[in-house]
Amino acid sequence: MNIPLKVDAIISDPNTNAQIVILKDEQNLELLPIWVGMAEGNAIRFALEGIASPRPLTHDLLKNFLNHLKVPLEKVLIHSMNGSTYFASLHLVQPPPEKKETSDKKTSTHPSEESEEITVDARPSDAIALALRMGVPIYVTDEVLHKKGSENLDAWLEKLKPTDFGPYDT
Amino acid sequence: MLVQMKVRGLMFDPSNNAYIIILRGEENTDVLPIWVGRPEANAISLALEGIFTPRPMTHDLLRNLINTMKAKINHILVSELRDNTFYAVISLVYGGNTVSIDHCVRMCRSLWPKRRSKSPAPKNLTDGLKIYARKTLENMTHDDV
Repeated sequence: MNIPLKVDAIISDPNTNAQIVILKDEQNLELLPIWVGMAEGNAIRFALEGIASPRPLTHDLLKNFLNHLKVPLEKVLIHSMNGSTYFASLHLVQPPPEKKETSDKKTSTHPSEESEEITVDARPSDAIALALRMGVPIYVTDEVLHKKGSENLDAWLEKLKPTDFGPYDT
Repeated sequence: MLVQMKVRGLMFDPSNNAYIIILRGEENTDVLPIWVGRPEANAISLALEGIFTPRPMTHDLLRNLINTMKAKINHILVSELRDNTFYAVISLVYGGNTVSIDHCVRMCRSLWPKRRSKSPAPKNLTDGLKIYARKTLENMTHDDV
């Protein structure tokens, strides 16, 4: 079963300088912390705060790319974890290329009947950064959600001081 | 007039803490330096060195998306220099149509060598992705940047 999650916050781990994305379920019962890199953390932070950069950043390019090609992103799914690494996938709906359906070389403009769902492997950080930009839901399998150690995070959060957050870094 | 460019290297400028990507024309006469951000410089250097990470980095994701959708990058055109910012366009072929996607120049650059490293015999640019820059950009002096 897939559970929808919302991005609750993004915080910095003062010890490792890593960024941690905190995902919560709708009832605020379950927490899923995911450690991400600096660049991806900033990409998520930009989307969360609604900061638009004058030129498209990498995840904006991903979004523009999908929009230009008219390939809608349906959802992103954090589907498994191996050790401490989470695996996610992008779920896209690809209309079949119309060119191949017609015998001649001209591209027909009418939409085809069958569209194909395709999944693309991604890191959760990229998936989340893209989902926030495109306004699509983020899902996690309950298997992953119950495997992670949210107890550890609770303990870590208890000890967290305001000064641990550090300066805002772009 | 369009000039085909190759990525010749990535430099670090310690005084400004900045990364500079060096493009050079096919005849080795024209040089185009482009200042890029750190995450982008990382992406470019991984691609230049042919390093594959266990998990797809953001630009790998972009390449995987392009491949999965059976789209193909035609070329990248560094089209404009405005207020000290280079502008580039990615030209794609998708389902028989040509699609152009506007982007800042540094992203385009890091897509190219990855494609090259995937091709079995990267003899020249015709095997990989073509990077063009307009001739006008070529005539810039160092002070202009």
